[in-house]
Amino acid sequence: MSDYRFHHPQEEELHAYLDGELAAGQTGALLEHLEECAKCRQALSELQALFTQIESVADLPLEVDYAPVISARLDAGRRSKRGWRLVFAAQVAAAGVLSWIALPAMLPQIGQWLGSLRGWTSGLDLQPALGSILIMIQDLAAELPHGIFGVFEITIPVRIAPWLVQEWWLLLLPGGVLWLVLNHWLLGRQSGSIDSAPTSHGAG
Amino acid sequence: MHDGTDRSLVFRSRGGDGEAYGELVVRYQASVFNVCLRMMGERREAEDLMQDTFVRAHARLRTFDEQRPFGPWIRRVATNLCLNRLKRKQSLDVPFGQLAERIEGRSVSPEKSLIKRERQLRVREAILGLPPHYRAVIELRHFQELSYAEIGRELGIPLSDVKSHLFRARKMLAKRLEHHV
Repeated sequence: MSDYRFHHPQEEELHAYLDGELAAGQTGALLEHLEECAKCRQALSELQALFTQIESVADLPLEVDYAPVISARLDAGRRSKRGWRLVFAAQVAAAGVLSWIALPAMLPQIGQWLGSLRGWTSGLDLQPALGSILIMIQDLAAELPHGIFGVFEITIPVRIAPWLVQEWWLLLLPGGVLWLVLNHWLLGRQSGSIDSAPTSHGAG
Repeated sequence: MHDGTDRSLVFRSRGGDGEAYGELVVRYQASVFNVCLRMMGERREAEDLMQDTFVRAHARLRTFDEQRPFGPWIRRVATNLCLNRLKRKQSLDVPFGQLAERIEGRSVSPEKSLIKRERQLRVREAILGLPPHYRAVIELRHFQELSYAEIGRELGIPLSDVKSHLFRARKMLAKRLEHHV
């Protein structure tokens, strides 16, 4: 607790006193000090005048009733969100139909994959898999002196193109995930743009 | 016209009653507009931000504690929205003559005391000359009467920053206003 018998209160403490933020004990000590100290009374009085001056700013009238405009914006937002949800639902349905068609062709391969994955996790096939990845990295590194762009623009597409033709369905999963992320982003963007859409002045 | 309490209007708005939310807008649009006007210093921008405040608040109505009054909450939402906008834009430096036009629009009543009007404009001008965070603490303390702790929570800053921001902001205001008292 501050003892104001031997020193003046800090300026910040005068602010806190006027804001009603000074501890009760400190307030008592401050009031005792103010009775004795004309300088601090003057400082407090000036600060009080500043507070009064700040708070003298009166509210100005709003010339337009914006309730209908805000209501229209909220309605537009709801409609737009509903529309995007429908689009999203249609895409999910389309993905379902596509999966239903593609699934019979994919099942044997998925079975093989699962078997291989089981092998990997038990450590049986890990070494050959790592070995083939290392060979691929070495091949790529060998071509690096020809230029990074050459490797990425020519080598990789040429290597993976035949594989993609055969295993096109493998793209379904990452493609689907990308599609969902894109949709989610678009939906958020759409509702966000409605939230901050330019507004019509002079309505009402 | 609705005669429900704010609490019942909030409850109905949460259930999708657009009319109930419209009534809340009617009740609080002027006070929210004035928060935005003090923070931004431009009538048209304040009107835009007032609308944005209600649109955003509607989306976050479920986070509002209905045991508390709606007015202070929506004014705090407005303050934060204005503060975010201010952080993204250049500081306002409007000549005094233009400030009156930008703030008052057509709302100046001819019988209003010219001296009083000019004094208030000077205070507005001084507040608008403050950095965004200082402007926000002045708004929250002097116009919305929040405690230091509440201001800290609202702006996401420690109590020590609230005290120092308020102290410095008032120092700057006193300096700017001393020639006009």
